[in-house]
Amino acid sequence: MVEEQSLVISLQSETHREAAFSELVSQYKERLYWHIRKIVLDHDDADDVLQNTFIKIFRNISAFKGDSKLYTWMYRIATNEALTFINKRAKRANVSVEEVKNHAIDNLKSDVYFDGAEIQLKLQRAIATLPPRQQLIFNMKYFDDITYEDLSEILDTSVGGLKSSYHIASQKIKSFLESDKTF
Amino acid sequence: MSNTGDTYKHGFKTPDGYFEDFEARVFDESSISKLPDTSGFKVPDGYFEAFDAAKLLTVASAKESPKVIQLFRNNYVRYTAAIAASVLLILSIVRDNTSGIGSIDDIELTAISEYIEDEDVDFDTFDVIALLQDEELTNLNTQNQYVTDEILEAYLLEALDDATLLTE
Repeated sequence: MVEEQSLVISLQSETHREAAFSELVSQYKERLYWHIRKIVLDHDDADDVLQNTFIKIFRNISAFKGDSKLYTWMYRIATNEALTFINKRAKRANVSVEEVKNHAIDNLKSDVYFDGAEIQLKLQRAIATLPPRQQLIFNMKYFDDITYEDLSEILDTSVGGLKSSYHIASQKIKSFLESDKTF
Repeated sequence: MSNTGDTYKHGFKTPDGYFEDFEARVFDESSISKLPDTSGFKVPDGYFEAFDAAKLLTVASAKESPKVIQLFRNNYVRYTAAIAASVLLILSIVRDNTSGIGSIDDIELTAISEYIEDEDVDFDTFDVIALLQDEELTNLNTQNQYVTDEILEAYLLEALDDATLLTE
């Protein structure tokens, strides 16, 4: 894996830019895809958002000052793109973001790119009941195991605040699943 | 820090090691340990292999094409379309009018008077006279003769109250 700092230097140089971008895409496409997928839920939507994310990264890489890690900066862009995508969809359909999310979860049962296990579907339903920020924190901590320090950079929140949000989110998910007799 | 009570004057105690694993218990992930580690999402076969940076570069490098303003605008098509639309509109209105309204008798008199009173029609006395035949004008004059001074006075006395008369 190419060291992050040298990758940034290459990305910001005129001559090595394209080769460095290919390296960047190859290194981060999967991580960013799964992060986006857990927000938008549908594969085609995740694909659209992932492409837009990389295009945005390429166009804005010259503005990256190195104040944070490159990957947390990219996660930030991916998060914004995914949330913007859902908001736009809600606006177009004249419904709330929650309705868009619930509709996407309803579609998961018939989605060929979803594992289909009942417990995973219930977990997605439970996550959807959380406020948007807690959803992000829970997904990134529980599934991606991102450190609180990196989460703090991505979401621009204190580590203490993140810990308490994650704890609250976990408790809510637990209660949601416990209230479901079949779990 | 001791929890034996020597440090605290209040006399309360905690179980051994209570504070040592407090944080771990508060942020205990075991409460959700029954849950699966994976989200259940899948991708089509070969998706990541096919996710091509070169394709993205084509889009990302493409500069937005500037707007071209034509020096000589060809508005022929626009004018033709506008004329055609106008003709169609007029035809549809005319057809609606002929089919929807049988005669002027179908219109309520109150509707006509409202229309005139609302000043939707710009008629003055001369316009009205021009529309009437001489005979009709004579008849109007004859009819006016039936309103004698006595009839008019009786009408006014009946229709107007004292207060109105005083103020006028």
